[in-house]
Amino acid sequence: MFNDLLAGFGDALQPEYLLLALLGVVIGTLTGVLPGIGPVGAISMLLGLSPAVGPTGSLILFAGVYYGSMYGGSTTSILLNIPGEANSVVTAIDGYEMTKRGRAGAALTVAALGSFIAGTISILALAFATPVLGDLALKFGPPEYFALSVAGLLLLCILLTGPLWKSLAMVFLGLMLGAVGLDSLSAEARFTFDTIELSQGIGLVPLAMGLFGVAEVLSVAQQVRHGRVRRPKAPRLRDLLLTREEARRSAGPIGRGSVLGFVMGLIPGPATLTSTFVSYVLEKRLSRRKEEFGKGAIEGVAGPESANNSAAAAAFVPLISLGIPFTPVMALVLSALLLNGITPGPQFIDQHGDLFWTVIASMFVGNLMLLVLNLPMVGLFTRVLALPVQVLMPMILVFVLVGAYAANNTMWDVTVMVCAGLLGFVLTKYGFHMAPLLLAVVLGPTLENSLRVSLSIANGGFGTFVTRPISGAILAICAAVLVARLVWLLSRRVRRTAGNGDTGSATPTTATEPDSSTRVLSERSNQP
Amino acid sequence: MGRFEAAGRLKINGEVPVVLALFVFGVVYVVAARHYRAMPLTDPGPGLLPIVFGIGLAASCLLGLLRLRRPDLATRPQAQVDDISEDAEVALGWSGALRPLAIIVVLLAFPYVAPHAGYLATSWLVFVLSAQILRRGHILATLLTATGVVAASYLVFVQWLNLPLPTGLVGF
Repeated sequence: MFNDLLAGFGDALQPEYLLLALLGVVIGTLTGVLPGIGPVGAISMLLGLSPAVGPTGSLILFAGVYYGSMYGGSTTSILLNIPGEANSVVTAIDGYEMTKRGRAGAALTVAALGSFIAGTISILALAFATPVLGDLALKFGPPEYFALSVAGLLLLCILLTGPLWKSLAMVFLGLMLGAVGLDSLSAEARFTFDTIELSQGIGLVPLAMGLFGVAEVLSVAQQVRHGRVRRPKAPRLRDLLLTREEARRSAGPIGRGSVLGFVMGLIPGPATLTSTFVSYVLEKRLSRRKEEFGKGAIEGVAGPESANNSAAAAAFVPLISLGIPFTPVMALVLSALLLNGITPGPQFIDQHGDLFWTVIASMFVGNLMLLVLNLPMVGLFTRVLALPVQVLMPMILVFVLVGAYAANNTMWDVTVMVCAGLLGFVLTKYGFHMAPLLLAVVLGPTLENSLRVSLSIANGGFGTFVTRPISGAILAICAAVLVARLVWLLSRRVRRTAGNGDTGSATPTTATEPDSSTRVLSERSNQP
Repeated sequence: MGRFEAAGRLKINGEVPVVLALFVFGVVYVVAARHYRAMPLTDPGPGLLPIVFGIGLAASCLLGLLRLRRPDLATRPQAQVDDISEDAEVALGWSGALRPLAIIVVLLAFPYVAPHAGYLATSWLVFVLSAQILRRGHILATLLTATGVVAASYLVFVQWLNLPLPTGLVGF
């Protein structure tokens, strides 16, 4: 393994891959800094370039974007109280309070250091865990793959904010769109209207670009405002140094966040988001200075920032070893691999060991680049916030048009992207999340094929899904989480009804108004 | 409070047709899926899961429609753009609803224009038009920025990545 990793470093340090890693982390950081776009939007815009840069280049580029967005998101959270993406919402709570107390530099440093240490630990764990899980996955049959697909979709729906019925509707819509084209088991054309274009199915690249890229531009176009942009004051280099006390208080949360994030990243659902909340709650419980949380506790920055970076790396484990993406970003990474003719799964490391180790090595390099780039250049990155919308949005449009066309060299994909953009714009406007839709399009074929094959093997009996230990356990966990969510909803409604009864004057509108942090999370959780 | 409630009503009024459209799409999808073989369960056909998916969408939307009838359970309207500017003004000229529509028209024209006019000219046009839709004025700055961005994209996509973008009648 050590020799493989060394060989991986040999490849990753080639100028072409170094340039792609640098490009990825810079784009990712900018994505994280700018509210709205998110890693899913950025990767979907770059997806069309995947065949041109090859499988290794694509993975290096996309991993850089993913990590970079985690780093970048914390910058605006800390300096401006504007989380660039959903995973930085928790960081804003104590990070911005530290800024108000004149410790912005320390908050940025601990976020960057925590992200770097957690990223490094989780990449090491990824290198060890992937082959182990790959061996275990060899025992998986169609029922296990069906259970994993259901778990991926259901847990994402349950853990996202907003009404459950909306997330479920998006999952079913995604599954329906994913069913268009030739059925892979019977080769029968479905919903194609006798057109060649639809017989290939609805392309994931134009769909993702439309749902996230074009829809975001349309949303900004509707709400565009002009005026001076509030630009943060970047801290001086000497302000970035931590005091001994701050360093001591950060060490534990960074370690715990790294482990917690990695474990949560292996579980289906929006782990990069949920791990930050769990880490924050954990640190608050363990801290001897509970009263400082919410008022600028450095543990409230160190823990969540470490957890989300660790979870980001862990998300690669199920994708590479099982071939099943648990998050929309991983769904896009999967489609990049498929575009290059590579199918991840239990045999991935045996068949494409050089690719795997090169990517692992480049993750180390990318992580180091982020640390070196982000702290001294934090002021430069925050200047992007001042870029006017009439420059930024047309740039995005030009890139998505090229990307949608370049994937298959067909204008049909451009039309699909524009239609998907309109669909995404309308649905997002009314509170529907696009993440479950995209994940369902990707997981749909796996879910359908594994269900049909399982039923054929079991002579039409559904018992096979619950009697097999692994699939039974996965489905039992899903059921337990679903029941827990329903119980929580019911108890909340009972409390609300009781509260209304007590006060007598509370209006329905105020009773359902979420607190500010929940609202921010809800608005941004389209990019988990 | 009044304004907030008014915004809430506006949201609910717009939301119902969207959910209704999704419900109808689910039902139509189920009807279309019935043309494919679904049964027996011992050898499920290509129609089985699409029927389940369509029913799932229709059922979710039906549940949503029932909930939307109760204002206390309806979702809040999404907040406007982030507070990036304390002295911001809502742009005048293009109304909020027209701007996205105009951008959609520009984008839909791309597949028809690009094969004839080429990637460079068409993407330059897309940039200029969408920039003007987003904010009128500063035409010279827009033209220069569009030229710079399109030239940079040409260097990256065509020269570096060798992407075969449409050249059109003019040859680039």
